[in-house]
Amino acid sequence: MKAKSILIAFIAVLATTIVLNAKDDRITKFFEKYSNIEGVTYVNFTPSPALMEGMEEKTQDKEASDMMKNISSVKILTSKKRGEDKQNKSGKNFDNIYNDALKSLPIDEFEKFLEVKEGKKDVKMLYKSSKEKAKAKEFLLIAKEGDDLSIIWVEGLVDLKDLGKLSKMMGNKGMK
Amino acid sequence: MELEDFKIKVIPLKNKLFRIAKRLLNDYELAEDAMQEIMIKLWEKRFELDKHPNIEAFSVTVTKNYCIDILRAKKVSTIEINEEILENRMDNPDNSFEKSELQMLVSKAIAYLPEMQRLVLQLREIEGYSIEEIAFMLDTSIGNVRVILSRARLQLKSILINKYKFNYERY
Amino acid sequence: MKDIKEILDRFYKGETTLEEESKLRELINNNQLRITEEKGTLPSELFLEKQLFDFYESEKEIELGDDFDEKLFDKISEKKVVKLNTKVKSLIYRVSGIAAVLLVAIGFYLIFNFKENQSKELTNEDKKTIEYTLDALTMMSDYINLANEHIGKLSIIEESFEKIHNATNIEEYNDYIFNILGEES
Repeated sequence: MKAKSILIAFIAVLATTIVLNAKDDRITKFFEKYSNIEGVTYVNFTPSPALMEGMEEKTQDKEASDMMKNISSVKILTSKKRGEDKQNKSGKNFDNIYNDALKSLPIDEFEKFLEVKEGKKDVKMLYKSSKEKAKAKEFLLIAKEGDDLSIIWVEGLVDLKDLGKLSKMMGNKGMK
Repeated sequence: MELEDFKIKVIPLKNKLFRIAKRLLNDYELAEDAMQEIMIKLWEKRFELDKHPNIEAFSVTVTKNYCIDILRAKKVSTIEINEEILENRMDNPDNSFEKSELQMLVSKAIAYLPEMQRLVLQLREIEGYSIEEIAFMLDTSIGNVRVILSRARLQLKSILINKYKFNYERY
Repeated sequence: MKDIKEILDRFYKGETTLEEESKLRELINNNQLRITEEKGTLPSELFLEKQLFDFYESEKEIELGDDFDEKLFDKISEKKVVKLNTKVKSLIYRVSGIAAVLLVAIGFYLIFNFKENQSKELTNEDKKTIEYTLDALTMMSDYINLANEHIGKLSIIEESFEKIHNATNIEEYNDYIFNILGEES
């Protein structure tokens, strides 16, 4: 009897893990789908001691690098419509990726807290309190700015306030 | 006009001009920076100032023109935000001001008005200028100022009632 | 009371004088129109106007910070001193001949040292990752701050506001406003 209930419990946990991971996969799948396309830059950041040290050197700001230690994952897709190419390959990729982002990413699970529309600019910023990992938050930026496309996903033990402080910290050191 | 003269005649206007700039730009810090530039402009125009019969009116006009230029240069954009999320999770010094909920609503409603209406309201209701003075500063007719003032007052009321559901019974 | 209605009418047409408006504010402030802020009591229809006038009063007191004048005069005197600066610059160039050579030598030494240390750990790929990640985070951060700056400032255009925009004269505005008021109270 006991063995059976343990088995059931085990399967239940396994199933839950698979379901939960499946949700996460919508994001991973999307980014990996476009990771090797011409004209698209894909960056997948997971902290490692070497990388964190590099970050610290680059920012030259203790507060900023401390905050970044709480970030567990960053995924980035950027693409540019190139000059003459706008009507051709890179242009099509650009639009495809953007439209796909709106369809495939789990936007329904996030809350949109900012949208900017201005001519050729359409930027959405979304926010989510992660259910799977307590206190972790997720941020999603889907931005089409003229000829530049950026899709960025961040997960970490950082909140809006913390992330908001970053540009001020960086700004002080003349990073931009 | 030398610096000492400037300090006596123009600098005392700084707070009034600042309030006007802030009303137009809808931004405290932007207005602060703008005021530095506006004062420098006025300093550079000090010879014109000397010849002008009304230094105050001239200064207001310079302020207005400078701010309108900034507003024009900023691209027109639609920005939608979800205030609830932000207010709960960001440090917002404004939230700790003593202004009551009602006053915040009024502030928001005014910010929503078109520039000219905001400006006329500021000049009339807060700075207390007469219609004639306002017409002079804006280089327009008295009749036109009345129309803008009328519209501003009506729209402000309308925004409070319709958009912000200013409902007497709630208060 | 008829008096008040008449003043208000003209107020919303932009026809009142400063004295009349002053009198209106006084009446409202002295509670002579039985405006009450207690919840649940029958409010006077001038409660909204009272809020507006209170707001305007508080706005009169807004001022610039204490350091404004100092910053300004610094800038103004900078403009006077431009010529002086160029003189000082050329002086420095002349004097620093030997010092400059020394500095450059030291510089090279330091750079070579640093380069060695740095290239041990990170691949080019890593460096690119770091750069992109920092840029991405900063971009997000900027947008978060943008959103925060706009709290209370902006809103979505609503239909009712369109009606005001489309009204072509003061009477239409008036009717619209006072009809709404009628429904509310």
